[in-house]
This record gives sequence, C-alpha cells and structure tokens, in this order.
Amino acid sequence: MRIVDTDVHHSFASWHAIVPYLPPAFQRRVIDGRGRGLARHGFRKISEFAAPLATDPSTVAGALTARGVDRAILNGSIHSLGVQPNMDFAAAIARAINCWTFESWVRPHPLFRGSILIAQQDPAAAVAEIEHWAATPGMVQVLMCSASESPYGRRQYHPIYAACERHGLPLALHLGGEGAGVSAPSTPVGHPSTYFEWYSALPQAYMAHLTSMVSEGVFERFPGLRVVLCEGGIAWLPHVVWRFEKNFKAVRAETPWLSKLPSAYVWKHFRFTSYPLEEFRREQDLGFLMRLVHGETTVMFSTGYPDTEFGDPFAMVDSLPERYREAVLAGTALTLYGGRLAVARA
Amino acid sequence: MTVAESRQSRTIRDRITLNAIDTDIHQDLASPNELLPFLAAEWHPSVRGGLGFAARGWHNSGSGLMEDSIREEDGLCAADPDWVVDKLMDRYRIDLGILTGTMIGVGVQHSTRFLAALTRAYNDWVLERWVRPYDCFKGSILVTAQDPAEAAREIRRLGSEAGMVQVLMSSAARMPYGNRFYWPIYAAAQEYDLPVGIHVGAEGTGIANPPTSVGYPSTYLEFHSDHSQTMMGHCVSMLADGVFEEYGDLRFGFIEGGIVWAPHILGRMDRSYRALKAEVPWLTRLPSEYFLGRLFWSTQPIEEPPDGSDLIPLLEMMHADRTVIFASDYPHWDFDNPHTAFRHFPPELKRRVFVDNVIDYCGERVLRHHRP
Repeated sequence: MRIVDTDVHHSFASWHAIVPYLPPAFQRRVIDGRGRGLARHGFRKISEFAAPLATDPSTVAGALTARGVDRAILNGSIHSLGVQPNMDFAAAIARAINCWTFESWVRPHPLFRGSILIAQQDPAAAVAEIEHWAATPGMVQVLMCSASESPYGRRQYHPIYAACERHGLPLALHLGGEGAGVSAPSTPVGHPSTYFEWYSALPQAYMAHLTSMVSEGVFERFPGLRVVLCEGGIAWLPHVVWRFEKNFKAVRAETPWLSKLPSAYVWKHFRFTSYPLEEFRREQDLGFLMRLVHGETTVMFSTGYPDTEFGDPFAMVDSLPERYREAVLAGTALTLYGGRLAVARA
Repeated sequence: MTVAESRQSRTIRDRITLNAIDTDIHQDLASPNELLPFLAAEWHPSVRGGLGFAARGWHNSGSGLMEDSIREEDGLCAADPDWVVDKLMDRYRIDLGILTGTMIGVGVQHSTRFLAALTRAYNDWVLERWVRPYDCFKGSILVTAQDPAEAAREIRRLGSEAGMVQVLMSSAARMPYGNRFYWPIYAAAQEYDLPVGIHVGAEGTGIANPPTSVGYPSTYLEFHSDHSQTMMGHCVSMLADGVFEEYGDLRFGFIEGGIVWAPHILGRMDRSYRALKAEVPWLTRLPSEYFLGRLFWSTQPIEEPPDGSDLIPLLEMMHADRTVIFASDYPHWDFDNPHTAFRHFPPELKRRVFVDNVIDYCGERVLRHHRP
C-alpha cells in the first residue's frame, strides 16, 4: 500500500440523505427545521480556492485514486456534535451519519474506511455507538470533535476510552466546533473576529486536550489508547511538550499517578495528520520539525479533501526527508489501524 | 557614602558595557496597606484587610517562591528593593530590571471604578518606592485592559515618566487583544513610544474566559502549561485584526508565555492567509511579515528540550536575534538562572536577547538615568 489518506471530509448533498436513519422524533427537525437547530460558529470561510463539497463517492474515489491513494479514512464535515446543547439530538445525528457513511461510502467502495462518529457530551450514548459499530468491517476508528465543554483528561470521558481500547479502535479528534454551541470561546481569551483568526488559533484545543489527557493519567489507565489529532499541524508540539515537561519536573507531586515523563506519553499515544502543515520558510525546517515530533512514528498523511484551499496536500509533504516518506504516506497508518485497513471486506 | 546610597546611585553605562536587562521582576507588596498613602480615603475600606481578588483553584505544590531568596523579616523575596538588588541584580550580574509586580490580575477583576483607583495607586507606589530611588529598576504602567479609556488615561498620566518603560496588562482577558475595543490603549502607547507587555497568571479567574478553549483544566500542572495558549490567542488576534496596520510603530511583548510556539502560529497563519485573505482585506502583507520589530517574546520559562541545541533552529525560525528578550521571573519558583538557562545560545544571540533586543523593545529610554 503506497498512500493512506487519514482525513477525508465527505458530505451529503442534502440532509435528506440521513433522514431514513433518524428516529421519527428527529426526522421532522432535520427536514423542516431552519438550520435544524444545529449550533455553529458565526464565521464564514471566504476563499477563492474553496472547492465544492465532496458529496459523490465515485468522484471522490476517482480523484484520490488518481493521486495514488489506496485507502481513505472518512471523517465527514460535521465536527460539532459534542457541543450541541441537545445531547439526544446529537447522538441521533451521529448514529444517522454513521449509517449513511457506512451504507453509501464504505460498503460500496473499497477505497473508503469509516469513522464511528460520537457525541461525547453523553459518554454512555457514545459508548453505545462505539459498541454498535466496533465489529463492523470497514469502520476503523472513533471520531469526536475537539470542541468540548471540558478537557478530555477529565474522568467523565474515560468510558469512551475504555471502549476504544477494548475494541482496538484509535480515537480521532477533529477541529471545527470551537466557539459554537456549549463550547467555551474558541480561544482562552475570547472569541476571534474572523474565520481566518478562528482557524489559525484552533490547534490550541489540541494543546489543552493533550496536556489534560496526559496529566490526568488517561494513558496509565488505558495504555492501549491511541489518539489522532486531525488538521492541527505539528509545529506547536515542541513548545507544548517542553513547557509541560519542565513544569512536570517541578510540580510532579500533584500527579503521583504518572509513571513517565509527559513526552513519553505524547510520542507513544498521539498521532498527527499532515494537512495542513505549517508553512516553513526554509526547506530544512520541515525535516527538523519532523525529527522533534518523532515524525517517523507520529505523523500520518492526510488531504483534508476536498478542503484543500491551503495548498496541495501532496506538495505539502514533498519536502519530507526520504527517511520519513514511507512512514508518513502509509506505514504509520498501517501500524495504527492494522487489519482494519488491510483486510478485504465482504 | 552608605551601601544603600551607592546602590541608589549606581550608574547606567553605555549599552556596550551592559551585561543583562531582565524584563520580568515581580516586586511585591509586603501588605496591600502600602498602597493606602496613594489612595483617596474612600477606597481605604476596599484595600484594608486584603483586596478580595478572584483567586484560582489550582495549587502549586511548592511555595511558589525561590526558597533560596526568602528574606526573614517579611517571608518574601521581593518586598524590599535592596534585597532584590542583592539577591538578583548583583548575584546574577543584571544591570537593569523591568518591574512587573504582583497585581497583574487587575485586568480581570470586577469593579472597574475601584480598579482604576487601585491601578493608579499601584503605579504611584512603584514609582515612589522602587523606580525613583533606584536607577536599576524600571517600571511598568499597569493598566486594566477591560477599561480601555481609563487605561489610555493612565498611560498618558505616566507616559512621560523617565523610569516607566512599558505598559503592562494581564494576558487573561475577555476578548482577544487585536479587537478594536482595545485600540485606544494602543493609540496611547504608540503616542508615548511605550511597548505593551502582557503577562500570564490570572487565566480562568474573575471575568476571564476558561483558561483553555475546551474549558477548565484540573491541575496546576495543566493550568501553567496551558498559559501559552492565551498568548497564542492574543498573537493571532493582533496579527489578524490589523492592529499593526493601524499602529505601525506599536511594540507588543509576550511575557512568561513561552517562545518557540511562534513558528507554529506564524506558519499556520501564513498558510491560512494565502487561502482566506478575501475575508481580511485590511491586511496588506503575510502575517509573518508584520512581526519583526513589533512582537517580542520573553524567555522565562525557557522551553527545555532534552537536547538544548534543539532550540536553536526554532529560534532561527522566529528570528530570535530580533524578537526574544531575557526574563528571569524573579522571585518565582520557575526562575530561569541567566548563567545556566542559556548555555545552548550562541554568544551573539545571547547578547541580542540579554541587551539589544530589550532596547529595541523598550526603546532607548530604558538606558536613561531616570533618577531626579
């Protein structure tokens, strides 16, 4: 296998696509409701490079296959379910999207693998969703939005991690709902003014989750858990890990349950998708960052297809030093997702 | 001449002879009552017996202070100027120090009228007790960013004081600092050629937002590690909202929020800007083309990679030779010793960070003899 794309944003052309999979109580809300009562942030992406939504599986498959992609993991376009005020509605939408993804994309097309979308604000419902799909060939990971009421180390989320670990499913986080619904403002100093500002600051959610999950001992309790951070870049990691570790050495009395340095948990348990990588001025800078973030085992290729306005995802990894290429393009994903990527499906 | 007199009259030399300028020294009040002489009587009841500031619920498992520098008389490390001269300036060969105090939290407390009076009193206390008697100590004009009109007034009240070298606000805030709400502060700061520094510590308290975009952390370990995220939020905002298009001479400093996150922010912003610039027509350049000479990062707590030399390429990416300024954070627990924390810096870069960049940040006024 040459290339695994770990972050594809597939969409439905109309909400009607998921109506058959919704309980009757919510069907009307989705068909009739103005905006369906789905909280969103107040920013609009205005870009001359914006592409049409990826609504047709064959078209998407054709476009990715033409670039050499052998497997593509679908993360969809709805990354705010976890901050919706109505958790029953959020859980119902998650189930419906999962059914639609599986039936319309994963089952018919050998290229695609699905993510089990969950709404984490109701951990019991999220666990039920994971259990529902865990044995289904073609579903390769659990997916939840990074936008959240609380950082992910906190104990209310641990049942989700137990379920992921039990089934050997990686947990992917995806940016997008920050500042919407019941989320805190999308930066710790309040709401930004523009989509550009909002998007530029989003990886801070990952920084907070990573620090929280390590500090709270999630990986002591769930040593098999792996977490994929989608679309957040990599260049923040050296700062975050080094600051975190310096602090840990001084105040570790506060977290006696940790048996290792923070960096040991980070490089072992977290993975990072490539699109969009930060823009580096010098060619050697990417190679240098890759070394600092242990890129040979932590960075996985992604296109973010069709949202490729920030540049060609393949060109973005062109300047990768040779020793990282195979691992980034396919190797690390194959190790992480294992048989769920490789096995032929019925 | 007594010892005290000789200290008071220490002279500031030519920049070539300077060894270090420390941009983050936390002088302390032995008691809030020290402020009473600087306050109208109507505010005395609000100060006597404590300020009642919002307090955070995260606990540093140590004392929070440098145990080797505690003064027996008051149990503090920085309530007496001569003590600080001894324990910091002389011991570590620091020529000049910029005082940042212990009142950063005014930026997110509740009563703006009281805060205006308190901030004025605090600044007057800094001037009288620390700056005017000591040529080695430079003051910050502390302001409450939540009240920009009052902040601008305070900058204009003290902006001509020779010993005051920056405006200081909390990084904790309700809105990011690029927002036009705050621009009267920048107009005043630019008018007086004063940089605006923001300092961490009050995150998640008072009227501030949660300390992370995903809510409240559980431990001090997380809380302190997350501080750089408020800095990043402000940094993105300052660049994206066009502050430097309007105030081209403004200089802005990130104090105690880490430094090597800058390549990430600038790299992500440049990448985003190329695709999204139609939304921000007020910007005329790439985000990374605004920051040189305008944004400054103070070193403490310097990131500590297992191999210290790994810092160097990141420092190059953020043009540290023009953007990074030395800070010790005396007398706090995570003090960076200037003799040991920068071993991996090339000598020329260290020189820039310890002296020249600080002068670029504060302007020549930091070299001036300010004692009357």
